[in-house]
Amino acid sequence: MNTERTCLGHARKAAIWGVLIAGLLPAVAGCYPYDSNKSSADYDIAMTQFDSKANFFPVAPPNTTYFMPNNVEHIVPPGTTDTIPTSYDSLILSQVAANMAARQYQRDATIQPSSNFIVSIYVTTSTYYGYAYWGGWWGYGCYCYGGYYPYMDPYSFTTGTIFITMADQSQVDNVAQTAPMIWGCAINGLMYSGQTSSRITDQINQCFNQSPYLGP
Amino acid sequence: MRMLGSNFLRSIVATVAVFGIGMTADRATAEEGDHWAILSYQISFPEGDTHDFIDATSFRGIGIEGRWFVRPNLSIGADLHWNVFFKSTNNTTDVPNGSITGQQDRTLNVFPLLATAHYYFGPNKMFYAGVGAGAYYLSQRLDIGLYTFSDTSWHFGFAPEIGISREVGYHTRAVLALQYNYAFKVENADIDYWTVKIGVAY
Repeated sequence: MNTERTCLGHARKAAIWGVLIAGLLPAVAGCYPYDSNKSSADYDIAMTQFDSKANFFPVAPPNTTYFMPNNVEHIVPPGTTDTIPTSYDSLILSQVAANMAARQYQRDATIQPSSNFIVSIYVTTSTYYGYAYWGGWWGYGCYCYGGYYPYMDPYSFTTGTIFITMADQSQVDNVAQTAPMIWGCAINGLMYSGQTSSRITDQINQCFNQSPYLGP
Repeated sequence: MRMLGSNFLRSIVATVAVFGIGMTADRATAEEGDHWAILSYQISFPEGDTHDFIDATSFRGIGIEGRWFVRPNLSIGADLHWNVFFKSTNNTTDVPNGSITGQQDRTLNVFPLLATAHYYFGPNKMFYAGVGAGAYYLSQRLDIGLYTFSDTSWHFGFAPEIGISREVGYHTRAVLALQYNYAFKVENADIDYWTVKIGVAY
């Protein structure tokens, strides 16, 4: 009886060890939970950077001025046709102007020697192609590789980025025709995925809201 | 892909076979009950740099542990965990001279690989205290917007632990333990968290 129980005990332990080790092997790939119900807006990001030495109000508000061209520059590779839609350009321009006005910057209709800042807006797009590898689910909300009935799924998506820059005209290099950027904002997200106008509006507002130094 | 899957299955079979043989060989030299195999579910609470990155309790944790008794009240062993910390946030994050706002999915996969020693006291090894030391493998990932930033690193660390165990059946014990994990700083971040283990020992 004791011998039987001893053998049973060791056999159980061997089996248990095997199961335990095998159960942990998928861990080698790591576990990266994610929310599969994200909307397009959840992929939008707003990044801002600024020159910590910059003086954003060289004259007391509301007398600080800036010049912003009435067009949005589309950045496309040399030799290619500009296919970036222009339908949102006026929205972008008006939203930036509204945020600048809310912070007591006055816009000059044409560039003046007295214009303190030059604000420029650029838009670019990128299209990505690839294959998604689907390997199956390994439980408790983890997507791990090495699963069941894997297959490849082709995909493509286009992203759009809006750059808003503010340069200090008092530091213009007339020879190189450049001016140092003292504030910049980059907005990035999925294109052609709906609610574009509201997403652009929200993200431009977010860029200004997370830059409190732009306020008087 | 089929080759990968096949190799994966072969790895499982080979690992099971190796451990099976190891346990069978062990029978010739050891008395019954002189080693424990522990499977535990783990809940972890981040501290320090770990908390700075993810301030959320982890309910994704599993561990296996082997303990071999070299004295009636003293065991040495090996401890392998897998603790996953995750938090999704859309807070604005400050970066040098700037800020970034967007949906962020922050994930830490921590794999401690520890050599352990435990001392037992009380009736029928009811209480124990011990410490583990060894390598911590950290896989860190930040998904923000359409971008992913990831990094991996190895750390040296240690893990003191106190616990209580009680026999609940033939060669079976229930185990409840509290472990503190700390791994030293590499690339400006350490690993720091408490873990509650709820397990079964055979």
